[in-house]
Amino acid sequence: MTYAYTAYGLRLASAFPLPELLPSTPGIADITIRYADVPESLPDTSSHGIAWQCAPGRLLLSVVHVARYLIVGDREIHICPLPDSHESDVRLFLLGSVLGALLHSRRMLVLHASVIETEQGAVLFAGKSGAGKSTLLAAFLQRGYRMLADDKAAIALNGDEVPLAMPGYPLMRLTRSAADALCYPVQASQLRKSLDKYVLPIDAFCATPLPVHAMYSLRAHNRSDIQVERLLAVDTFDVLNGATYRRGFLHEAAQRRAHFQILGAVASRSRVVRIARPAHTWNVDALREHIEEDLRR
Amino acid sequence: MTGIHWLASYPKSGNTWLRVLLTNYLRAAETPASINDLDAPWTAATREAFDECVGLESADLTREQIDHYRPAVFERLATEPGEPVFLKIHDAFTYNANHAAIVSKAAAGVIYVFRNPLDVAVSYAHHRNDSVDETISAMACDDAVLAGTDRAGGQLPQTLLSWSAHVRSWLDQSNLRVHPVRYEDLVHDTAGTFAAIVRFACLEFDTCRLEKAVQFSRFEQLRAQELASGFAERQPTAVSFFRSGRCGSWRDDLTRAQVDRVVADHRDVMLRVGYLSRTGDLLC
Repeated sequence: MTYAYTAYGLRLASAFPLPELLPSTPGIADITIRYADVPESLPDTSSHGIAWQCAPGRLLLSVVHVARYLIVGDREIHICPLPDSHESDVRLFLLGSVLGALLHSRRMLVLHASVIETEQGAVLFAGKSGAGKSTLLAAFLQRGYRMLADDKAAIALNGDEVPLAMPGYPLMRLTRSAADALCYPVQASQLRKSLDKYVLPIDAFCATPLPVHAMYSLRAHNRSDIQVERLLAVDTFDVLNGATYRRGFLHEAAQRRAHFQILGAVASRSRVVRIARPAHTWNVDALREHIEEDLRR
Repeated sequence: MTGIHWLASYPKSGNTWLRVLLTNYLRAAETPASINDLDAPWTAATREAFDECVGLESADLTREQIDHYRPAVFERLATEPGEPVFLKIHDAFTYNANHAAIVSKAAAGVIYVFRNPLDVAVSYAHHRNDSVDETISAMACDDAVLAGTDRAGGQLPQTLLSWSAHVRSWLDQSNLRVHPVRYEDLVHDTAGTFAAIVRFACLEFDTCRLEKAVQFSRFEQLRAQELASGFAERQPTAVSFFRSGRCGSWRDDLTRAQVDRVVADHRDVMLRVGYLSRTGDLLC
């Protein structure tokens, strides 16, 4: 029995259910996901971080108390759950860093960003952990916008070299404090207590790829105002590159070439804006209004 | 000089001021270093550095999982070639569930700054924008954690312990060579105390640079800079970061009952590091 899904424009065949993803009709898959033995380390590693190792055609990710994951080429994910791990935790990291590494290996531009649909095209919210990407996404959803991705944006070029943001999967994760501040409709059963986060399925999901119109790079500052700074072309490339998801996962030359090619396309075609908001007691609706106003200009 | 040094301290104990001194000394520039561009960043506490080093989102990890990986993160930061040569940390010296020291011993050493807990209470209350009584309770809490509840913030949870346990954890550990610095000594004899730090860190010793660094790091200088251009590391809830820097401000700002509480909570360590005499007199 296999389960068929789509995510980021790829067709996935999984040996077990992945309820977070959009179901698809069974057929030839781009990616297969299955349980298998996964070694604790790889021979011939070319680069590594603390929880990951890269070798030619392989990337191994080990999450303590949860699972080991092996990406083989750009088509297979092998998972070896560790004793006493929870399936939801195994899926959490599969859809997090593992999927991110896989998208890199599929030669997409992977950015640490959330994505919404607007009249002008896809709009990305990038920023460091804690900058407010998901909170801002939630605020836009409350205003009736649709989302394409939460936390991880994947961009590919179409035949005309236009960068398209790919639809990820219809799920948003929101910290309890952000959900409370937004009065976001949640159910107690959706709270992951150990992480103090809600995991929320989203109906307002845009399942078609959209040209990238703009990226807003968020940061916190310790002033009380919101600053919006549209970047000159010369700076956009660095800011986009700075938003790269897990740069260390880009371990093969072909991946890095694709990365820079798509970065260049986005930098030349899309608006890149730096936006700073107060670090504490920030009003996410005010931030959303600043962005909506900037989008109208 | 070889390897990096940790600049370790409980919050509001002079860590930032020491960073100002070191930055001015290392750069040896003609004008004071900007407080918004200091050396010895707080990298070891940021989620961003952790996430990049580990390859996982710290916001998806439990406290125990984060502490499992942190020794390796510290190891990496300590052994990365090149700048910076100092890194600030507020963590106490503790071990994770695998009995691994969180702070790597790959570093060249640690400069540990401590300050009279009576003055810390005053300063930390302003910083936290909290009452002095609540702050005194937090300083006595044996399992205190910095940034522990803010999963959405940019910082990792950092084990602080109580003020006493923080001091003991650093002075009693034997993994790293440690140079203890009393904040009060740094205030009263800045040049002499800082010279000892320069020697401990095996930096090239230069009297002119040292004098200039002391001059560029005066409190009034830092306050003026903060007034003019703000300080990015100020807690958004605090009015200012460089507030008084004075020794003994507790004599004006704490009630007798508050002083008694702090002394009762931290008597042994206050005796040990010279804030309290054998006969119970307060010395700073």
